Amino acid sequence: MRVMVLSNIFPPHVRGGYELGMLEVARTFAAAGHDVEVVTSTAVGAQRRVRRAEDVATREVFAPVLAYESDLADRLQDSVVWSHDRTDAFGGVIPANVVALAREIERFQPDRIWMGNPLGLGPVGIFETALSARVPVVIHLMDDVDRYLLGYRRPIHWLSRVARLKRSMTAVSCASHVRTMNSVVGEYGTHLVVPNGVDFTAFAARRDSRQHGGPLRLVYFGQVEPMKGIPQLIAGIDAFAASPESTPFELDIIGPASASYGAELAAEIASRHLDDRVRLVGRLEKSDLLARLAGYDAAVLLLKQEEPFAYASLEAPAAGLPVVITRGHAVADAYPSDYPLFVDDRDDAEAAASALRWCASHRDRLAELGRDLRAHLLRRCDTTTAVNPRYLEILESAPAPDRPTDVDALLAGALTVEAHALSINA
Amino acid sequence: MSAALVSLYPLDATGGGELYTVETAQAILASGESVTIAAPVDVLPPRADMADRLRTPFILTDAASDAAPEVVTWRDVLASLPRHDHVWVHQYLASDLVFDVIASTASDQSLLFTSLGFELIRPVFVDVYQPCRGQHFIEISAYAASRAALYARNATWMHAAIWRREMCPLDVVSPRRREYVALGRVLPHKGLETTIDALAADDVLHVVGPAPDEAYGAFLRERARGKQVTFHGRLPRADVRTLVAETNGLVAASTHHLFDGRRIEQPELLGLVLCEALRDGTLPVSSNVPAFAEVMGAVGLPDWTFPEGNSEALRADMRRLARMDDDERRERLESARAALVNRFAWDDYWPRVTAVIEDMRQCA
Repeated sequence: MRVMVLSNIFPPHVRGGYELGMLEVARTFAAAGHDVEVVTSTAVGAQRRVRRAEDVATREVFAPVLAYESDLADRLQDSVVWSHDRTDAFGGVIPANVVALAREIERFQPDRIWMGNPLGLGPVGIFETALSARVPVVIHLMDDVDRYLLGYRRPIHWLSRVARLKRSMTAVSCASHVRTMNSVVGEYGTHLVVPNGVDFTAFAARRDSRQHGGPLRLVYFGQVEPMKGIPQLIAGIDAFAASPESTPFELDIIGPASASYGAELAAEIASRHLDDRVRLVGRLEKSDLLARLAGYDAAVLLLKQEEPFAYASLEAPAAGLPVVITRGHAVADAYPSDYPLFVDDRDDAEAAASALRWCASHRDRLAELGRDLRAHLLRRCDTTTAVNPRYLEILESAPAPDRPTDVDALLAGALTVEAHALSINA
Repeated sequence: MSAALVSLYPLDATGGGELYTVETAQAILASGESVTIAAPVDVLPPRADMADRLRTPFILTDAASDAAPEVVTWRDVLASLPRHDHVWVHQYLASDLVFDVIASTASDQSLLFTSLGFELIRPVFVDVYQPCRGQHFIEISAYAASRAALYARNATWMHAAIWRREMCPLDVVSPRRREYVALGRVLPHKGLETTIDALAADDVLHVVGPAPDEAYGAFLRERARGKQVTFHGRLPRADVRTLVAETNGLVAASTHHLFDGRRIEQPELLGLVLCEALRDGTLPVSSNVPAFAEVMGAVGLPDWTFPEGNSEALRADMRRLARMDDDERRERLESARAALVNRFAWDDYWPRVTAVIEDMRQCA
């Protein structure tokens, strides 16, 4: 089959685990014998953060996705034009992207469309255009798309339109609570839950910590942004460092940060006198990261409870690391219920410190805990044996829409309501 | 399949436009589809900001159910649209809520528009509306469609006015030869002063319908002084039908030129009363405003129109009508009623509409 994989951003534009996850999905479909093309946004300037995936046909046909650029957002938050464009990007229609997708569909003639995150591309237009292909459309949800659709609206009221379009699509959510979060603005025709996966065989085996002396080696990896729990991580580490029974430790924070937050974070670390033990490593190539993970004793991921399903929460165990982790919804889907390193309230610095103290006092058991966690997650979240077969099954069996949509009508409708909205404000 | 019929004008009055919406719902139901009707509680302002629009109260009715109608908000109405394959906006030029419907309706739904004459936002609609496949203007007359062609090239029309089961048996022997009836809301564009002016001393005119415009009502009463004119006000439907059947003819004198010197762009988009006159067994006489001329032509009565505002010409027609013998009267009525049943029936209205939509889809 010809499978069109659609993603808002895609390597070389990488912000976190999702884009790389979509790359793996595309590779999975290609490895299964399908003719795969990825359509995504055009990466410009600083967005080109990693090497292109040369083994996957990628067409950067959509306008650059600027809506996630934190520095720009901070600088331009009072701009009416920026707000207008960002609102369309997160919750409306971007006509240029509609036209681009329609032309790609016409050219590639896909048999299936596997859609990742449409946010930033004008998700309403992307939904409706994808359904014009008259082929099954599967949306792979790792984010709370409905929250954006509800939160980013101008006078134009798209929600009923979205609710209608969702009826004709099959959805795959990476966690049960992601399904719930994406069932607010109407419901998808079929909505399945398949946890995110990683290739467990790609991770180097962790060394046994008993072979090492020295400080407790901790790591955070992923996007270095407040929404990922970095402030809570610093507070927890500070509380851990201040406790009388604290052992020596090192914390590496690996991942990209916006310039403004990176500076703010460095200052925060210095002000707490942690700068000799907490290092801001910056972004690493994925291969370098995977190789490096095996050298740590534990990962610390104080993600918000609503976090869809961070790949890091699988990648660390895949490398044999136990994880100090918030007891979140997605984690509850995958981790053992009696796992000892859950933090119930990430805003409680003492709770995080307590989990870190457990790591310090049970350092000889961390390797075993990591192995057990790895074995548990392998059964559920290994791409080769558990996750990819489900994706392929869904790709095959998803139904085509009963009534196809029409791009001409979409564009005309969007232009009409846009012109009306602008005429009111003129 | 199901349809949502959204009127942007209240349905609590009894004018032709409101009746048209209700009959449209009945026609859809008669074809075996479900239909819900949404209409505002009060007349909508032509423009309102989004927050006010979403709070606007609407009455939502399941046309097939005995359940009491619900009072909901416009937000609720919009939220109900995804479950319908057809979304039909009546009085789409009455309020900018029409743009919310356009935004809320996906292109896998048929979106239809019909104007019934309340057109406060016509200028902005003309400027901003973009025509497309999947959105259809099904106007109520060729004349109405010609006006919509300004912004929608594919605008078309479909006549409907009567149910076949409601056709009265024809009785041509007993009309009161010098009595005439005028039906409908007593509003300036109805041109009733022309009809009053046309009356001879022994002619009688029954004016039936509410008179919401006090100034016009007073003007007419003054104009009718010394003539046999009765203003009945609103009457029960059965009484109206009896009156129509027993009088010599129905006179509809609508005009662009109002009694106070104003000129309006369109006084009528169809002419339901002309069809109802034939249904109830009497001949209509009408002014030649475009929609009336169209209806009279469609039922084979083009020779019973007079130039709008011309009371002398109307008087001549009324004399001609009074002198018509029973045979000719029967012949003209039978022919016109046959055309009416054939071309203006609600019974097959929805299948005719869907066939036109399908044709347009194929052409596109």
